[in-house]
Amino acid sequence: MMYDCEGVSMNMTEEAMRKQVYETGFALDDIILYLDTHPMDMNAMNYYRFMRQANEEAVRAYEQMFGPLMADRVMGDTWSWLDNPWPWEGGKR
Amino acid sequence: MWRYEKRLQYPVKITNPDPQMAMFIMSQYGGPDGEAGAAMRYLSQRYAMPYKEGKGILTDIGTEELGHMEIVAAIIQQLTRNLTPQEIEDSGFGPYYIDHTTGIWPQSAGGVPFSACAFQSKGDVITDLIEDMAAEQKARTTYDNILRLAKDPDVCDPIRWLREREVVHFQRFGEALRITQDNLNSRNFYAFNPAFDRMQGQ
Repeated sequence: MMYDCEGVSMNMTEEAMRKQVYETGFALDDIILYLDTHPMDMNAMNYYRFMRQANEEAVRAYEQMFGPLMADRVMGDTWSWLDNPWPWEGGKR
Repeated sequence: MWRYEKRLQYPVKITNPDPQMAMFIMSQYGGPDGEAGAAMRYLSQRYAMPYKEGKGILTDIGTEELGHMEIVAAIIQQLTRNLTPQEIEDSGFGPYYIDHTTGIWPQSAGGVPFSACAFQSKGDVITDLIEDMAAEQKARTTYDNILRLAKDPDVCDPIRWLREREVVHFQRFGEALRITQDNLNSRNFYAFNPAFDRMQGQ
């Protein structure tokens, strides 16, 4: 099978951008649990604010390239919610 | 992945407790045609769904059903606030109270615990979608049964709204079934499982 360079770099970008979404998303999930039981911890609040912004940026960048991650974030004129692969479809040949 | 939104999909504001009505409505939380089973059914079935419209509708209705579980739970919780021992004894709420106090637990109106046997995930798209349409009708019937007994307008209002959603979901599943049938190889219309069998000539 031939690899075209554009396709490869596109995949690399998608993988890197998806990784950003996964990592910042999980960091948020985790600090939310911590803050639920430590609501007065100001360091944790700072981390939460930092990570929320990083996550918002990662999600926005990913969605601009590859489509919406949530059904109420479809941009443009057509219903692109159905177009990109579903999360359980990884490892597909 | 899911994120929680801190609001009900439709508001619930009930002032007067009614533990007997809570026992009845509980069936739509964890009973045979309840919202817990609905959410589990659609969110489990979507992995066998080959068509994007179907994946979308199963995901999005399954997600909405999680929100409906929360509405039904809020109704039960508000109907069982500040009960006196006398009210518990007189209302028939006693057996539930003994096991769960006023905690929310998924069971039918008759006390049968939530069971995955109340739904199927058959791995066959036609089979699953026809079950889904029947499930929405069964839930609609149950809401109709509740509405015949409920008198408090604060209770009837969210129950009527939940009933309407069953009708809308039935309609959407009917459309998903039509899309599925349009996609099927017409030579094997009823003999073919698009989730499992390989498409001939494609």
